[in-house]
Amino acid sequence: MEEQYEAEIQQLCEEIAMLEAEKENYEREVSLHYGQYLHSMLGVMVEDDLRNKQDIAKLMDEIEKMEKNLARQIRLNKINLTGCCTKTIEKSKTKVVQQYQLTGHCYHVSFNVDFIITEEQEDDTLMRKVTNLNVVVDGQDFTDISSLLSRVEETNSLLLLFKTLESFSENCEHRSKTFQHFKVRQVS
Amino acid sequence: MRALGFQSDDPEELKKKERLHRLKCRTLSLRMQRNKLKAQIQMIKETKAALDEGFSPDSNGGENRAKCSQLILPLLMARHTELKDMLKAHHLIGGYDLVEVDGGRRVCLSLSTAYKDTCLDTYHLELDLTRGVRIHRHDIPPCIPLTSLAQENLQTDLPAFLNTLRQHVSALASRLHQVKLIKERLKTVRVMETNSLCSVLVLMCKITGDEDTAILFSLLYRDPIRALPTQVTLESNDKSLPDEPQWKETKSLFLELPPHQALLVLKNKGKIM
Repeated sequence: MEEQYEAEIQQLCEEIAMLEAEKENYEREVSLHYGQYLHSMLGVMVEDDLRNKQDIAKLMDEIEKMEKNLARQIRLNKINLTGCCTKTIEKSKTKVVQQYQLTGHCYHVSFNVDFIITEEQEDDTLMRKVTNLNVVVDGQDFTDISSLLSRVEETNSLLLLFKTLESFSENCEHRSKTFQHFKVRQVS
Repeated sequence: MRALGFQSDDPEELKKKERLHRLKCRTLSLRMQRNKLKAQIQMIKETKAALDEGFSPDSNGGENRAKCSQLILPLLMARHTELKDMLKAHHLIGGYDLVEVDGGRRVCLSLSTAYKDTCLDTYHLELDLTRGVRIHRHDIPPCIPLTSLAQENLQTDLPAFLNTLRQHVSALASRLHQVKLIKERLKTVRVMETNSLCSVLVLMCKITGDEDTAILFSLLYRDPIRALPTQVTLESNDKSLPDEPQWKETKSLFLELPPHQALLVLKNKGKIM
Protein backbone atom coordinates (compact mmCIF):
# COMPACT_ATOMS: atom_id res chain seq x y z
CA MET A 1 0.00 0.00 0.00
CA GLU A 2 2.86 2.34 0.95
CA GLU A 3 4.72 1.61 -2.26
CA GLN A 4 1.62 2.35 -4.30
CA TYR A 5 1.28 5.80 -2.75
CA GLU A 6 5.00 6.49 -3.08
CA ALA A 7 4.95 5.54 -6.75
CA GLU A 8 1.93 7.73 -7.40
CA ILE A 9 3.53 10.64 -5.52
CA GLN A 10 6.65 10.32 -7.67
CA GLN A 11 4.57 10.18 -10.85
CA LEU A 12 2.40 13.14 -9.78
CA CYS A 13 5.46 15.30 -8.99
CA GLU A 14 6.86 14.66 -12.46
CA GLU A 15 3.48 15.34 -14.08
CA ILE A 16 3.07 18.59 -12.11
CA ALA A 17 6.51 19.80 -13.21
CA MET A 18 5.64 19.12 -16.86
CA LEU A 19 2.25 20.81 -16.56
CA GLU A 20 3.84 23.87 -14.93
CA ALA A 21 6.23 24.16 -17.88
CA GLU A 22 3.36 23.77 -20.36
CA LYS A 23 1.27 26.41 -18.58
CA GLU A 24 4.19 28.87 -18.43
CA ASN A 25 4.95 28.45 -22.13
CA TYR A 26 1.31 29.07 -23.13
CA GLU A 27 1.20 32.13 -20.85
CA ARG A 28 4.38 33.45 -22.45
CA GLU A 29 2.86 33.14 -25.92
CA VAL A 30 -0.26 34.98 -24.81
CA SER A 31 1.81 37.77 -23.21
CA LEU A 32 3.93 38.11 -26.31
CA HIS A 33 1.02 38.52 -28.72
CA TYR A 34 -1.76 39.91 -26.57
CA GLY A 35 -0.11 41.44 -23.50
CA GLN A 36 -1.16 44.91 -24.61
CA TYR A 37 -4.86 43.98 -24.24
CA LEU A 38 -4.56 43.61 -20.47
CA HIS A 39 -4.68 47.31 -19.80
CA SER A 40 -7.78 47.96 -21.93
CA MET A 41 -9.52 44.87 -20.56
CA LEU A 42 -9.03 46.08 -17.02
CA GLY A 43 -10.54 49.38 -18.15
CA VAL A 44 -13.65 47.63 -19.50
CA MET A 45 -14.19 45.75 -16.24
CA VAL A 46 -16.57 46.98 -13.62
CA GLU A 47 -16.37 45.94 -9.96
CA ASP A 48 -19.27 43.46 -10.03
CA ASP A 49 -18.14 41.89 -13.29
CA LEU A 50 -15.12 40.42 -11.64
CA ARG A 51 -15.73 36.79 -10.91
CA ASN A 52 -12.92 35.13 -9.01
CA LYS A 53 -12.60 38.52 -7.29
CA GLN A 54 -10.23 37.33 -4.60
CA ASP A 55 -7.88 35.59 -7.02
CA ILE A 56 -7.86 38.64 -9.28
CA ALA A 57 -7.28 41.13 -6.47
CA LYS A 58 -4.42 39.04 -5.07
CA LEU A 59 -2.82 38.69 -8.51
CA MET A 60 -3.14 42.39 -9.26
CA ASP A 61 -1.49 43.19 -5.96
CA GLU A 62 1.45 40.89 -6.68
CA ILE A 63 1.77 42.23 -10.21
CA GLU A 64 1.92 45.79 -8.91
CA LYS A 65 4.71 44.86 -6.47
CA MET A 66 6.68 43.07 -9.19
CA GLU A 67 6.32 46.01 -11.59
CA LYS A 68 7.66 48.35 -8.90
CA ASN A 69 10.62 46.05 -8.22
CA LEU A 70 11.36 45.82 -11.92
CA ALA A 71 11.36 49.61 -12.28
CA ARG A 72 13.80 49.89 -9.37
CA GLN A 73 16.07 47.26 -10.90
CA ILE A 74 16.28 49.18 -14.14
CA ARG A 75 17.22 52.35 -12.28
CA LEU A 76 19.99 50.73 -10.25
CA ASN A 77 21.40 48.22 -12.74
CA LYS A 78 22.78 50.07 -15.70
CA ILE A 79 21.58 47.26 -17.97
CA ASN A 80 18.15 47.93 -19.44
CA LEU A 81 16.33 44.82 -20.69
CA THR A 82 13.77 45.85 -23.24
CA GLY A 83 12.82 42.34 -24.32
CA CYS A 84 12.88 39.01 -22.54
CA CYS A 85 11.72 35.89 -24.34
CA THR A 86 11.78 32.78 -22.15
CA LYS A 87 10.89 29.21 -22.97
CA THR A 88 10.92 26.21 -20.62
CA ILE A 89 12.48 23.42 -22.65
CA GLU A 90 12.44 20.77 -19.98
CA LYS A 91 11.04 20.56 -16.48
CA SER A 92 11.07 17.70 -14.04
CA LYS A 93 11.02 17.46 -10.27
CA THR A 94 14.77 17.97 -10.03
CA LYS A 95 15.74 19.68 -13.27
CA VAL A 96 14.68 22.78 -15.19
CA VAL A 97 16.10 23.81 -18.57
CA GLN A 98 15.12 27.25 -19.84
CA GLN A 99 16.05 29.19 -22.93
CA TYR A 100 16.41 32.98 -22.70
CA GLN A 101 16.52 35.51 -25.52
CA LEU A 102 17.28 38.97 -24.17
CA THR A 103 17.40 42.29 -25.94
CA GLY A 104 18.35 45.54 -24.34
CA HIS A 105 20.91 48.23 -24.02
CA CYS A 106 23.49 49.64 -21.65
CA TYR A 107 23.98 53.37 -22.26
CA HIS A 108 24.26 53.51 -26.06
CA VAL A 109 25.39 49.96 -26.63
CA SER A 110 22.55 47.62 -27.59
CA PHE A 111 22.75 43.86 -27.40
CA ASN A 112 21.01 40.59 -28.22
CA VAL A 113 21.95 37.77 -25.89
CA ASP A 114 20.73 34.16 -26.07
CA PHE A 115 21.52 31.43 -23.62
CA ILE A 116 20.25 28.29 -21.95
CA ILE A 117 20.11 27.84 -18.18
CA THR A 118 20.08 24.38 -16.63
CA GLU A 119 19.13 24.10 -12.96
CA GLU A 120 19.51 20.81 -11.15
CA GLN A 121 18.57 20.04 -7.58
CA GLU A 122 21.21 17.87 -5.97
CA ASP A 123 20.31 17.09 -2.35
CA ASP A 124 20.27 20.48 -0.66
CA THR A 125 22.01 22.48 -3.33
CA LEU A 126 20.82 24.01 -6.55
CA MET A 127 23.32 23.76 -9.40
CA ARG A 128 22.91 26.34 -12.12
CA LYS A 129 24.85 26.28 -15.38
CA VAL A 130 24.92 28.36 -18.56
CA THR A 131 25.24 26.87 -22.03
CA ASN A 132 24.85 27.98 -25.65
CA LEU A 133 25.73 31.61 -24.93
CA ASN A 134 25.38 33.77 -28.02
CA VAL A 135 26.06 37.51 -28.10
CA VAL A 136 25.44 40.20 -30.69
CA VAL A 137 26.51 43.71 -29.76
CA ASP A 138 25.54 46.74 -31.76
CA GLY A 139 27.14 50.08 -31.33
CA GLN A 140 30.19 52.07 -32.12
CA ASP A 141 33.64 50.57 -31.68
CA PHE A 142 32.42 47.09 -30.96
CA THR A 143 35.57 45.80 -32.65
CA ASP A 144 37.40 46.71 -29.42
CA ILE A 145 35.71 43.99 -27.51
CA SER A 146 34.91 41.43 -30.21
CA SER A 147 37.73 39.10 -29.18
CA LEU A 148 36.71 39.36 -25.53
CA LEU A 149 33.14 38.59 -26.54
CA SER A 150 34.24 35.48 -28.46
CA ARG A 151 36.08 34.21 -25.40
CA VAL A 152 33.09 34.90 -23.20
CA GLU A 153 30.89 32.98 -25.63
CA GLU A 154 33.28 30.02 -25.67
CA THR A 155 33.34 29.77 -21.90
CA ASN A 156 29.62 30.62 -21.49
CA SER A 157 30.54 33.27 -18.93
CA LEU A 158 27.18 35.05 -18.71
CA LEU A 159 27.91 37.18 -15.66
CA LEU A 160 31.31 38.24 -16.99
CA LEU A 161 29.67 39.20 -20.28
CA PHE A 162 27.36 41.69 -18.64
CA LYS A 163 30.03 43.11 -16.34
CA THR A 164 32.19 43.66 -19.43
CA LEU A 165 29.30 45.22 -21.36
CA GLU A 166 28.64 47.58 -18.47
CA SER A 167 32.21 48.86 -18.15
CA PHE A 168 32.70 48.95 -21.93
CA SER A 169 29.56 50.99 -22.57
CA GLU A 170 30.38 53.28 -19.65
CA ASN A 171 33.80 53.94 -21.20
CA CYS A 172 32.22 54.59 -24.60
CA GLU A 173 29.89 57.04 -22.93
CA HIS A 174 32.77 58.88 -21.23
CA ARG A 175 34.79 58.93 -24.44
CA SER A 176 31.91 60.35 -26.42
CA LYS A 177 31.17 62.99 -23.76
CA THR A 178 34.83 64.02 -23.63
CA PHE A 179 34.92 64.23 -27.42
CA GLN A 180 31.78 66.38 -27.45
CA HIS A 181 33.31 68.61 -24.81
CA PHE A 182 36.43 69.25 -26.88
CA LYS A 183 34.42 69.61 -30.04
CA VAL A 184 32.40 72.39 -28.43
CA ARG A 185 35.55 74.07 -27.14
CA GLN A 186 37.16 73.89 -30.60
CA VAL A 187 34.19 75.59 -32.22
CA SER A 188 34.12 78.38 -29.65
CA MET B 1 -5.37 8.26 18.53
CA ARG B 2 -8.48 6.09 18.95
CA ALA B 3 -10.59 8.90 17.52
CA LEU B 4 -8.69 8.75 14.23
CA GLY B 5 -9.52 5.12 13.92
CA PHE B 6 -6.15 3.77 14.91
CA GLN B 7 -7.26 0.79 16.87
CA SER B 8 -3.99 -0.87 17.65
CA ASP B 9 -1.82 -0.19 20.67
CA ASP B 10 1.32 -1.56 19.08
CA PRO B 11 3.70 1.45 18.54
CA GLU B 12 5.14 -0.06 15.34
CA GLU B 13 1.68 -0.59 13.97
CA LEU B 14 0.74 2.98 14.93
CA LYS B 15 3.79 4.43 13.19
CA LYS B 16 2.96 2.48 10.08
CA LYS B 17 -0.61 3.75 10.03
CA GLU B 18 0.53 7.34 10.61
CA ARG B 19 2.94 7.09 7.72
CA LEU B 20 0.29 5.64 5.45
CA HIS B 21 -2.06 8.45 6.42
CA ARG B 22 0.58 11.06 5.62
CA LEU B 23 1.28 9.49 2.24
CA LYS B 24 -2.41 9.41 1.45
CA CYS B 25 -2.80 13.12 2.34
CA ARG B 26 0.19 14.04 0.22
CA THR B 27 -1.15 12.05 -2.72
CA LEU B 28 -4.55 13.74 -2.50
CA SER B 29 -2.99 17.20 -2.28
CA LEU B 30 -0.75 16.51 -5.30
CA ARG B 31 -3.72 15.18 -7.28
CA MET B 32 -5.56 18.43 -6.53
CA GLN B 33 -2.55 20.46 -7.60
CA ARG B 34 -2.28 18.48 -10.84
CA ASN B 35 -5.97 18.91 -11.61
CA LYS B 36 -5.81 22.63 -10.90
CA LEU B 37 -2.89 22.99 -13.32
CA LYS B 38 -4.79 21.09 -16.01
CA ALA B 39 -7.74 23.46 -15.58
CA GLN B 40 -5.48 26.49 -15.77
CA ILE B 41 -3.88 25.18 -18.95
CA GLN B 42 -7.34 24.67 -20.46
CA MET B 43 -8.26 28.23 -19.50
CA ILE B 44 -5.14 29.75 -21.06
CA LYS B 45 -5.58 27.66 -24.24
CA GLU B 46 -9.16 28.93 -24.58
CA THR B 47 -8.00 32.48 -23.96
CA LYS B 48 -5.38 32.21 -26.68
CA ALA B 49 -7.94 30.71 -29.08
CA ALA B 50 -10.39 33.57 -28.42
CA LEU B 51 -7.69 36.19 -28.95
CA ASP B 52 -6.37 34.41 -32.06
CA GLU B 53 -9.89 34.54 -33.50
CA GLY B 54 -9.73 38.29 -33.25
CA PHE B 55 -11.48 39.10 -30.00
CA SER B 56 -10.72 42.67 -29.03
CA PRO B 57 -11.55 44.40 -25.74
CA ASP B 58 -12.25 47.65 -27.55
CA SER B 59 -15.48 46.64 -29.29
CA ASN B 60 -18.69 47.58 -27.48
CA GLY B 61 -21.48 45.43 -26.16
CA GLY B 62 -22.49 43.64 -22.99
CA GLU B 63 -21.39 40.34 -24.47
CA ASN B 64 -17.96 41.85 -24.79
CA ARG B 65 -17.82 42.70 -21.10
CA ALA B 66 -18.80 39.18 -20.16
CA LYS B 67 -16.07 37.76 -22.36
CA CYS B 68 -13.54 40.19 -20.87
CA SER B 69 -14.46 38.99 -17.42
CA GLN B 70 -13.64 35.43 -18.52
CA LEU B 71 -10.31 36.37 -20.01
CA ILE B 72 -9.06 38.68 -17.28
CA LEU B 73 -7.75 36.00 -14.93
CA PRO B 74 -5.67 34.09 -17.51
CA LEU B 75 -4.32 37.38 -18.90
CA LEU B 76 -3.29 38.46 -15.41
CA MET B 77 -1.62 35.10 -14.83
CA ALA B 78 0.24 35.51 -18.11
CA ARG B 79 1.42 38.96 -17.05
CA HIS B 80 2.55 37.52 -13.71
CA THR B 81 4.69 34.89 -15.50
CA GLU B 82 6.06 37.57 -17.83
CA LEU B 83 7.20 39.68 -14.87
CA LYS B 84 8.62 36.64 -13.09
CA ASP B 85 10.67 35.86 -16.21
CA MET B 86 11.94 39.44 -16.44
CA LEU B 87 12.96 39.56 -12.79
CA LYS B 88 14.74 36.23 -13.11
CA ALA B 89 16.53 37.40 -16.27
CA HIS B 90 17.75 40.47 -14.39
CA HIS B 91 19.04 38.22 -11.62
CA LEU B 92 20.81 35.90 -14.07
CA ILE B 93 22.66 38.74 -15.77
CA GLY B 94 23.97 40.02 -12.45
CA GLY B 95 21.32 42.50 -11.39
CA TYR B 96 21.01 43.52 -7.75
CA ASP B 97 17.43 42.23 -7.31
CA LEU B 98 16.37 45.31 -5.35
CA VAL B 99 13.29 44.69 -3.20
CA GLU B 100 11.70 47.23 -0.87
CA VAL B 101 10.60 46.05 2.55
CA ASP B 102 8.92 47.68 5.50
CA GLY B 103 7.19 50.34 3.43
CA GLY B 104 10.37 51.52 1.76
CA ARG B 105 12.34 52.00 4.97
CA ARG B 106 14.66 49.15 4.04
CA VAL B 107 15.83 47.51 0.84
CA CYS B 108 17.17 44.04 0.17
CA LEU B 109 19.80 43.45 -2.48
CA SER B 110 21.50 40.38 -3.78
CA LEU B 111 24.95 39.95 -5.28
CA SER B 112 25.25 36.97 -7.58
CA THR B 113 28.58 35.35 -8.39
CA ALA B 114 29.75 32.92 -11.01
CA TYR B 115 32.86 31.20 -12.32
CA LYS B 116 32.61 31.04 -16.11
CA ASP B 117 29.50 28.99 -16.86
CA THR B 118 28.80 27.89 -13.30
CA CYS B 119 26.63 30.03 -11.04
CA LEU B 120 27.99 30.20 -7.52
CA ASP B 121 26.64 31.56 -4.23
CA THR B 122 24.45 34.63 -4.01
CA TYR B 123 25.18 37.05 -1.17
CA HIS B 124 22.65 39.39 0.38
CA LEU B 125 22.50 42.84 1.92
CA GLU B 126 19.69 44.62 3.69
CA LEU B 127 20.07 48.39 3.85
CA ASP B 128 18.31 50.73 6.26
CA LEU B 129 17.37 53.97 4.51
CA THR B 130 15.77 55.87 7.37
CA ARG B 131 18.77 57.93 8.46
CA GLY B 132 21.21 57.96 5.58
CA VAL B 133 22.20 54.53 4.32
CA ARG B 134 23.23 51.86 6.81
CA ILE B 135 23.79 48.14 6.54
CA HIS B 136 21.05 46.45 8.52
CA ARG B 137 21.82 42.79 7.84
CA HIS B 138 24.04 40.81 5.51
CA ASP B 139 25.56 37.42 4.82
CA ILE B 140 28.86 38.64 3.43
CA PRO B 141 31.73 36.48 4.77
CA PRO B 142 33.73 38.21 7.54
CA CYS B 143 36.96 38.03 5.56
CA ILE B 144 35.60 40.70 3.21
CA PRO B 145 36.32 44.22 4.60
CA LEU B 146 32.66 45.27 4.49
CA THR B 147 32.87 48.01 7.13
CA SER B 148 35.82 49.79 5.55
CA LEU B 149 34.24 49.54 2.10
CA ALA B 150 31.03 50.99 3.54
CA GLN B 151 32.91 53.84 5.17
CA GLU B 152 34.34 54.80 1.81
CA ASN B 153 31.26 55.40 -0.25
CA LEU B 154 28.09 53.72 1.05
CA GLN B 155 26.54 57.10 1.90
CA THR B 156 27.78 59.04 -1.07
CA ASP B 157 27.74 56.66 -4.03
CA LEU B 158 25.63 53.54 -3.60
CA PRO B 159 26.19 52.15 -7.12
CA ALA B 160 29.97 52.48 -6.73
CA PHE B 161 29.89 50.82 -3.29
CA LEU B 162 27.84 47.93 -4.64
CA ASN B 163 30.13 47.58 -7.63
CA THR B 164 33.24 47.32 -5.44
CA LEU B 165 31.56 44.94 -3.02
CA ARG B 166 30.43 42.80 -5.92
CA GLN B 167 34.02 42.65 -7.21
CA HIS B 168 35.22 41.45 -3.81
CA VAL B 169 32.62 38.72 -3.36
CA SER B 170 32.88 37.61 -7.00
CA ALA B 171 36.64 37.19 -6.74
CA LEU B 172 36.30 35.31 -3.43
CA ALA B 173 33.62 33.00 -4.85
CA SER B 174 35.81 32.34 -7.92
CA ARG B 175 38.86 31.49 -5.82
CA LEU B 176 36.85 29.21 -3.53
CA HIS B 177 35.39 27.45 -6.56
CA GLN B 178 38.83 26.96 -8.08
CA VAL B 179 40.00 25.23 -4.89
CA LYS B 180 36.91 23.04 -5.05
CA LEU B 181 37.75 22.12 -8.66
CA ILE B 182 41.30 21.19 -7.66
CA LYS B 183 40.00 18.90 -4.93
CA GLU B 184 37.47 17.32 -7.30
CA ARG B 185 39.49 16.93 -10.47
CA LEU B 186 43.06 16.60 -9.27
CA LYS B 187 42.94 14.13 -6.44
CA THR B 188 46.71 13.57 -6.60
CA VAL B 189 47.36 17.20 -5.69
CA ARG B 190 47.15 18.07 -2.01
CA VAL B 191 45.81 21.42 -0.90
CA MET B 192 48.19 21.99 1.98
CA GLU B 193 47.04 25.38 3.08
CA THR B 194 44.44 27.99 2.35
CA ASN B 195 42.58 30.65 4.32
CA SER B 196 39.00 31.93 4.43
CA LEU B 197 39.73 34.75 1.99
CA CYS B 198 41.54 32.26 -0.28
CA SER B 199 44.35 34.78 -0.55
CA VAL B 200 46.90 32.04 0.06
CA LEU B 201 46.93 28.67 -1.63
CA VAL B 202 49.65 26.09 -1.11
CA LEU B 203 49.57 23.02 -3.32
CA MET B 204 51.74 19.93 -3.07
CA CYS B 205 52.38 17.86 -6.18
CA LYS B 206 54.43 14.73 -6.77
CA ILE B 207 56.95 14.72 -9.61
CA THR B 208 56.32 12.11 -12.27
CA GLY B 209 58.72 9.24 -12.08
CA ASP B 210 60.07 10.12 -8.67
CA GLU B 211 58.01 8.95 -5.71
CA ASP B 212 60.10 10.81 -3.16
CA THR B 213 60.23 14.26 -4.70
CA ALA B 214 57.44 16.70 -4.15
CA ILE B 215 57.04 20.26 -5.32
CA LEU B 216 55.17 22.93 -3.39
CA PHE B 217 53.45 25.77 -5.24
CA SER B 218 52.63 28.75 -3.04
CA LEU B 219 50.16 31.13 -4.61
CA LEU B 220 49.60 34.55 -3.12
CA TYR B 221 46.60 36.61 -4.09
CA ARG B 222 47.52 40.14 -3.05
CA ASP B 223 44.69 41.77 -4.99
CA PRO B 224 41.38 40.80 -3.34
CA ILE B 225 39.34 41.61 -6.43
CA ARG B 226 41.32 39.37 -8.73
CA ALA B 227 40.74 35.67 -9.17
CA LEU B 228 44.34 35.05 -10.28
CA PRO B 229 47.42 35.08 -8.01
CA THR B 230 49.88 37.97 -7.95
CA GLN B 231 52.86 35.94 -6.80
CA VAL B 232 54.00 32.33 -7.16
CA THR B 233 56.83 30.64 -5.27
CA LEU B 234 58.20 27.14 -5.67
CA GLU B 235 59.73 24.91 -3.03
CA SER B 236 60.83 21.31 -3.03
CA ASN B 237 62.54 18.75 -0.84
CA ASP B 238 64.98 18.49 -3.72
CA LYS B 239 66.66 21.86 -3.15
CA SER B 240 67.93 22.29 -6.72
CA LEU B 241 64.58 21.66 -8.38
CA PRO B 242 62.98 25.11 -8.09
CA ASP B 243 65.93 26.68 -9.92
CA GLU B 244 65.74 24.34 -12.91
CA PRO B 245 64.46 26.29 -15.92
CA GLN B 246 61.67 23.81 -16.67
CA TRP B 247 60.21 24.41 -13.22
CA LYS B 248 60.96 28.13 -13.13
CA GLU B 249 58.75 28.64 -16.19
CA THR B 250 55.80 26.99 -14.48
CA LYS B 251 55.53 30.15 -12.37
CA SER B 252 54.16 32.15 -15.29
CA LEU B 253 51.63 29.38 -15.95
CA PHE B 254 50.16 29.91 -12.49
CA LEU B 255 50.04 33.66 -12.97
CA GLU B 256 48.09 33.36 -16.21
CA LEU B 257 45.76 30.43 -15.63
CA PRO B 258 43.50 29.48 -12.73
CA PRO B 259 45.35 26.88 -10.59
CA HIS B 260 43.25 23.88 -11.58
CA GLN B 261 43.93 24.58 -15.26
CA ALA B 262 47.65 25.20 -14.67
CA LEU B 263 47.90 21.90 -12.80
CA LEU B 264 46.11 20.09 -15.62
CA VAL B 265 48.59 21.50 -18.13
CA LEU B 266 51.48 20.22 -16.00
CA LYS B 267 49.80 16.86 -15.58
CA ASN B 268 49.16 16.52 -19.33
CA LYS B 269 52.79 17.41 -20.03
CA GLY B 270 53.74 14.54 -17.74
CA LYS B 271 55.54 16.74 -15.24
CA ILE B 272 53.41 16.01 -12.22
CA MET B 273 51.28 13.07 -11.18
